[in-house]
Amino acid sequence: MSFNELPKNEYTQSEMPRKSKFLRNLIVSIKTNHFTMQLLIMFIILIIIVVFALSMGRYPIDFYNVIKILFSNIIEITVDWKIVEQRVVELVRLPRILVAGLCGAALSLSGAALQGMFRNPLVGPQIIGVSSGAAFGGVIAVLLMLSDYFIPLFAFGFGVIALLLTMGIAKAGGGKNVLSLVLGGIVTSAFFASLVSLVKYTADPDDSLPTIVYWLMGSFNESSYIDVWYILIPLLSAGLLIYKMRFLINILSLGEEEARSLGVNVDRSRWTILLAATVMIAATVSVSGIVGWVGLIIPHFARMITGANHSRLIPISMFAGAIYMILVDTVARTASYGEIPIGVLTALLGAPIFAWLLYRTQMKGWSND
Amino acid sequence: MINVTNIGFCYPKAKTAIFEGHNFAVKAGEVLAILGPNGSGKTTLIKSLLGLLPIFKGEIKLNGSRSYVPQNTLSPFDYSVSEMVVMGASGQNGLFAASTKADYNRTDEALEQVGMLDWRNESFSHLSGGQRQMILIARALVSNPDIMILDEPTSALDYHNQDKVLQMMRHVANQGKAIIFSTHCPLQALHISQKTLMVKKNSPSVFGASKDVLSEENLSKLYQLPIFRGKLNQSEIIVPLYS
Repeated sequence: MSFNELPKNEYTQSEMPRKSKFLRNLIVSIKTNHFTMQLLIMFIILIIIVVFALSMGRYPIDFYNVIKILFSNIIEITVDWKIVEQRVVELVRLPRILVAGLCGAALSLSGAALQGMFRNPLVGPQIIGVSSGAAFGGVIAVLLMLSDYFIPLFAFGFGVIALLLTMGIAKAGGGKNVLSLVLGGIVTSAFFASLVSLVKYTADPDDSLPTIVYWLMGSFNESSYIDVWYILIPLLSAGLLIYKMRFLINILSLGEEEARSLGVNVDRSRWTILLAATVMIAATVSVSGIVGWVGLIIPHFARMITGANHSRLIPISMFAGAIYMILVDTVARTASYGEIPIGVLTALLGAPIFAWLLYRTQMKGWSND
Repeated sequence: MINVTNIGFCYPKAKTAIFEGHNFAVKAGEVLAILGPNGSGKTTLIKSLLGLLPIFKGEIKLNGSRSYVPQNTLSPFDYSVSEMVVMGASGQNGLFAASTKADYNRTDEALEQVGMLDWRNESFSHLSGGQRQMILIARALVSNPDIMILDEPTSALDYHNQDKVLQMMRHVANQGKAIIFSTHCPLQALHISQKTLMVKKNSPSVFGASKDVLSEENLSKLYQLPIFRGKLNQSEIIVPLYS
């Protein structure tokens, strides 16, 4: 018996990816060449969502009036809307929507960076324990009746402590393995969660306890323009730092040994990314409490849109995170008579989406280690 | 190009050394094969040569830049072929290294060299094992290294792809680069390498010209199995005689 020579190229067709040629070309062109187009589309969607969110609420405002109110700040338009409408849009809804969008962007950006760095698509801001640590810091600041300026500082400080704890535990438990890091994160989260419970137990049930509980569940309810700055400055500084490291994150996602063989200083880059992500996560916790799952699932969607390359993934993640967060927050404030805590909603939506992602990725991120 | 004298490696806290007393040298344009049974410290030696693990004694004198072709890479993320290859260009440039247009041009050149340019936009994880090995070689070529180090480059490949990878290694060596690779196949060492280093746990390593080192006697001792070396239609063959 013998194999007949096939008049084919070096690599036979069976080695080609299974998708049809048209579909493959389409995916390739979307994934590689049309990044600017994707950004533009995301930007347009974001603008539409913002205007839509501004018009929604217990006091509905006409879509066109919202646009006119917004533009009246730039160009002169004859006022044919109620002054109440302008106040609701500019003083109540706009800061809230800005904060929600920026928080979504910051969480997704740090999630994308952490997933790339730990070469595991199932890592998120909450899994490394930073969220719980930052929450404990914020709770302490509330308990001590410190002024609002201290909440971000305490959140960041304890966020860093939580990060150090997680890394320490991971190192003691084997170090390089992603699993040991995740376990370290779980231990740290549990530790700080119990500390938070302890603070709650000791807090004044008439005064600080409700504030703490409501703050922890996460809400953009009391967002003001000050909060916009609280989140915008860390996002611009730490976010830009991470964006500058986008090519490095690609290399880090190949694994420690390979990254080192490609000339990367792995430890230095890891710490830089971790600290930058901690700054952003702590900032979001300080303005909105714990809003989970966003940083975990949004990068996945961004990866589906634009592929794994972090130079595209990071900007797309930011836009997708902002859009998602504004949408969820709009639901949170309009779906019922009372306000639904946003942390509850994102978890409610996030858990099934995460389960679906597990099914789709077939636990790929774990099996490689 | 690379000159190694009496190096040894030992994990901290471990009592015995992983390897000890290796001496060898590779010149530009030469291929060195590292041959040894499982657990003889081949991969550890390669990591030491790359500077990923510190040696505890001896000396490695390097004259030129190194690049590494790992056994196989599986990122949980789906990068395209050109994204994968361009990573070879930007690693050394510090925290804020960016892939420039020039890097992508070099990427295309490297892909052209390994004959995979048409695949530049395909997803790396969809490629076959042989193709992936070629891409990893291209990635090592992008930084234009003086020394290329490959860890068992043919171990998971079929005969056809083994041949292609060996040809590519010879092609790279002919450009004046030194090549070091580890293998389980003495015939491959005989086929493409001028020099061979034979390593075995707890015994001194043997280094020299491949045709001398890869004798029946040496190989039989190395693998504790009778091994036949002879000629078939003017090509050398090495065959293990399984018990």
